[in-house]
Amino acid sequence: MNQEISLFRNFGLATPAAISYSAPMNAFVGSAFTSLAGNTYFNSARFADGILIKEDVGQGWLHTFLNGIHIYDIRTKKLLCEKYFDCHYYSKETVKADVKRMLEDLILSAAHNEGRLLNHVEVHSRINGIIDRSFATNQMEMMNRQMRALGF
Amino acid sequence: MTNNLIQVNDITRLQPIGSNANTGMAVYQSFQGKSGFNYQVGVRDSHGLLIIEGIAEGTACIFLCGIQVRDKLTGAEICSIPVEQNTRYSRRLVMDMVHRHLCNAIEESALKEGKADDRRDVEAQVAAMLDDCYFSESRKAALSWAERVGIIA
Repeated sequence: MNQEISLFRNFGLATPAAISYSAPMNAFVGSAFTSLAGNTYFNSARFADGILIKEDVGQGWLHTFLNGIHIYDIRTKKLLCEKYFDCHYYSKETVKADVKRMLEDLILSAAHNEGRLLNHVEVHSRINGIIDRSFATNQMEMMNRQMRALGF
Repeated sequence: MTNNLIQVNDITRLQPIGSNANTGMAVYQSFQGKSGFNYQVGVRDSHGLLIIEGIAEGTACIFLCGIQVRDKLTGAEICSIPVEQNTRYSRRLVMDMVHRHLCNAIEESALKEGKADDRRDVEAQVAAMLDDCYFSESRKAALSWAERVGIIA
């Protein structure tokens, strides 16, 4: 587990000792902080092919909110894109939809900057496939697959 | 948190202690407060300018505390940007704030020295430089990832 912990540490997740896999969420969850108001904040992370998707989650008395999404390239450990939300109810489907849109916008704008022409429909369809597959796959398996791809 | 967080008078001589994965900047100072927030001073190097950002990083949030822009060569302060309390951090927001204040600083200096400047041209050039500073690495990494996983050929 040491290599997995150092992998998470590189992405600024909560203290490595507190990272744990949550089967109901199918995600890795960091240590939580509960404020004086009784709201609990934590990070959760999922792997997709070559990327790590980190969610900032706030759990209130009645609702759970998505506060932000960060997406990192696992190989270079670069922050690819981030998005922050206000009063955005949390759901796995919302996260998937936002992640797909963020990646699509990023790749299309990056290609545009370089003067490359891309087929929007193809990019959209491939990103959809990658994200849908990763969310449906057991995240422990996804993590092991990414570790092997990195040579661990 | 006010701009007093940034008290790095000679940052050009310091070495970074690490980098912040959530913001992408090199971290020069870090302080763990009793509240649990991690206060950091980070620097971005942009075409001869040092953009110094102060942030407060929590478990599931990052707040922007202050921004200063300095000349990398001399360390002289070009502008110090006020930030309201409880401002959530994002690279886009910081870039927009730096862009606005830097363009204003350039225009004021030009006026005082009796030099003519084309505001639109200044804005376009500064925007391009800042965009390169904040997002070029992310874009390169994104395209590289997209090619690796077969999204693009």
